[in-house]
Amino acid sequence: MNRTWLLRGGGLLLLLLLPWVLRDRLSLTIPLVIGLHAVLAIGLTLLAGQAGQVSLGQAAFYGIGAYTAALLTVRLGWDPWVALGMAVLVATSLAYALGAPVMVLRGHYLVLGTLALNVVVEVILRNWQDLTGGANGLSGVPPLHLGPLGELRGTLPYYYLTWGLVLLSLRMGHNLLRSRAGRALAAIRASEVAAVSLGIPPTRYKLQLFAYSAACAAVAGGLYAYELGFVSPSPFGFELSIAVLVMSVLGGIHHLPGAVLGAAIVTLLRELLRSLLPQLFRGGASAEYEAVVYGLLLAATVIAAPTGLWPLLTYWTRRPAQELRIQLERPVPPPPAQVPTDPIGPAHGSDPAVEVRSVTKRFGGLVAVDGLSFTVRPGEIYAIIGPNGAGKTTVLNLITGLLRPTTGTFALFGFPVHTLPPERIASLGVARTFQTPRVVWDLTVLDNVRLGMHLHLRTGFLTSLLGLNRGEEVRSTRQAEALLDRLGLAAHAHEIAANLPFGSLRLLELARALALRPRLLLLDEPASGLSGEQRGELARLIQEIREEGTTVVLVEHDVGMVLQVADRVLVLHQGRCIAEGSPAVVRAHPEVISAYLGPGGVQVATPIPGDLRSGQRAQA
Amino acid sequence: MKPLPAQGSPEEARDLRGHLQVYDLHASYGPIQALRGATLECAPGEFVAVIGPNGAGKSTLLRAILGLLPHRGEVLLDGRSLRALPTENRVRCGLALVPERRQLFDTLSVLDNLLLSGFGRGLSRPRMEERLRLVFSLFPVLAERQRALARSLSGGQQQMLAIGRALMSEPCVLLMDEPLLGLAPLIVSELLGLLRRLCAQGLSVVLVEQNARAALSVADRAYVLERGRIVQSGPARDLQADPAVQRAYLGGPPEPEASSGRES
Repeated sequence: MNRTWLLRGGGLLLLLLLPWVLRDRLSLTIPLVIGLHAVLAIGLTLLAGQAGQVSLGQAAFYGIGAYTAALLTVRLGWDPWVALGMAVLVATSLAYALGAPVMVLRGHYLVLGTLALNVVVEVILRNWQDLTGGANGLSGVPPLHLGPLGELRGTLPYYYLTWGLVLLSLRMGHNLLRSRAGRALAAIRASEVAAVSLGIPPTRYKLQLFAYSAACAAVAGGLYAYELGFVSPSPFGFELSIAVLVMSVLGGIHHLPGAVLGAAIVTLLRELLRSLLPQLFRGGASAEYEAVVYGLLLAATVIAAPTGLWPLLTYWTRRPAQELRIQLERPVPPPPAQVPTDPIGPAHGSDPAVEVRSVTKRFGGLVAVDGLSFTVRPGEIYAIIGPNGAGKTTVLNLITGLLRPTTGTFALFGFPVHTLPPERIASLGVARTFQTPRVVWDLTVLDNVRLGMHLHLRTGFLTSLLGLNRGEEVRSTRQAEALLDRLGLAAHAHEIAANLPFGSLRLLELARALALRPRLLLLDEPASGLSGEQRGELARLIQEIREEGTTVVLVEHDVGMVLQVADRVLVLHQGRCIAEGSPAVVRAHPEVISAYLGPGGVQVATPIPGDLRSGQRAQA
Repeated sequence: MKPLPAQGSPEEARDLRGHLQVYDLHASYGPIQALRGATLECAPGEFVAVIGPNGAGKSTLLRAILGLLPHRGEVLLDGRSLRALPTENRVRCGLALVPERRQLFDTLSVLDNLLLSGFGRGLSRPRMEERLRLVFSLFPVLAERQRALARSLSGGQQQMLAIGRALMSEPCVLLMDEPLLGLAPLIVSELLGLLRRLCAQGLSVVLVEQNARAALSVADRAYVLERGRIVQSGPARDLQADPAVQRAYLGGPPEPEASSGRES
């Protein structure tokens, strides 16, 4: 930790004293430009690292910021600060307008969209002479003014303003990563299916982050215009967008401060090349050679240090911290938290928890669910069993809205939901687990559970950026710790989820589902991969959850467990119901035996309660 | 492509008997020691189960035997060391793995997934067809859906494909990591029955299973792995009757007198 603070303090001191070290004021321009580029790169690093979306439009938003500020002050005589605000507004609106249709599509369409934007912006800046002044640009942009300091002229005040902005955007980015919005973005990155099942709308979060990266660029652009007093199209060309991408990758796409490092290296390199290349190649065309150098640099980074330079730089500061973390075995249990157990969603009366009416689902020629109807009563444990490929998981996917029925309808607690998107169905109080646990590998166990609380937390994107979420964070941490304690995972709370063995991942996913405080809980093979002891725990837990008023739908092959906990059992075969009823009835059903259980000794992991074999239901 | 070492040639592999010996195996993930000197043996035609709690190193054990991660210690097949061989050559020597979490080739068809495994071992066409018949008779649904993409199968069917793929390589030692995960009871008993028949014909099986009840009921011998070390071993029947094993891995005594033996 000491080393980290040493690094930070040293960096800050260097920033403060740099203007006095560089007596010659002209050369202060380079540190200023590094700062402006760092802001652009921070925006892109957040977008690429957190939302997995690459933008090639940072230069365009930078230009839009600069030109909006310049035009409003020069042509309309606006106050520079107001014009700067307007520049941010224009850039974010444009980002929303461009991003909304693009972000709905999965994959790398944003790259194409922003590439086009950059070209369009460049053409407009150069050719709309009447508005932008064309290639000659706009001059006479007034400087900013700041209270008693009056008008800010010269490079020095802008140097401090820009680096203040760099530190602010680092801080805000850091806040974002440790907030509800940051966790939501991590979930979207890991699995959109899991994210929507927790009520997280992926498009909205990706759009917000894109708009934020555009806003960062616009502020930098405004500062640029005010400092120089002049704007022209050339600094906002496509090459700069490429350079910003190189900065982000070079610094490390998952390391926010790396963006500053990358900006420094690339900007210095650029200055060096601009003085060096014309001497080497007298024929001109040095800009093309510049692009070649960026390309080589990018390739070398991806091959030699795929996670960027920042982790290498900070290696010596992290080592003692890691040793510390291993010693951190929490000897004192955390104070018990008040865990609200009241489920979310609208109150319901006697309506069935799940009502499926003649639902069919076809995948091409394959009929996965074939005219299926069943009803789950509120507060019951309803098991669905059947051979592999019978359509059990498809039924869960239909109920949670991940799939749409080909024909038929279904209702949850009396609400028709077959047309709702999955995140809306989740907000009715529906939580689920997946056959293959879909946890967020790079988040801690604790944060994975807090993801489940997404619908209960209120912190939005902006409040996350500003760090105004402390109270809620503390509360949600306590509640998550209590849940982990309940599932026996408390010792792993601060580990990265990827380090957990398979069985614990299942329990973690269950904890996350419970964090949603569901009134309907859908479990897809929760016992597979669990040890005998854990299966016993799980069976007990499922019964406890039901006692708390949650309806449970359970898909499971561990017949011993199903017979032990279920109130009623539905047996699916080729998408149709072949039997429904109490466990004892289903177990004795001849068709169930021939299609599913098999005639001989069933190799179940949980011992089948002895009295059930004689046809009597055990007292749970 | 590197030339294969002599002991990896398929002709010779046919004569292998599948005697697997593992001595003092160590492996770690970064600072975490997953295996701390595991020693076990699987005789030709023997069915060995490895049970143990979550995180004991069971999957790591199989991955190390196949050479999927760096390890110290000795792995012998019929007395010959595999230590210097990369994974693909160990597969050519007759090892096959049913990996944890399936790891299929999602965008290939069911049939291509199976055939690739046969190609990887270097099987001749007739022997591949013979193997394919065996796999399809065990899992008829795979024959029905052989043109479908692997990712379009249901979870349990994907598990069948992962097992089928391993069987396709005509292994002499079959390493299985939780192969029963997500399989219906009927399929589980059919699969275990087939494995027993293959063992009778000389196949050696090392089965890692959370479902200790099923594993112990079918295996000849079993090992208990805890914290990267073998802490107990013996005939599966003896372990099944061992009170400590019952408590830890079988969810209490198998035939409770009262309604539930778990609470006692």
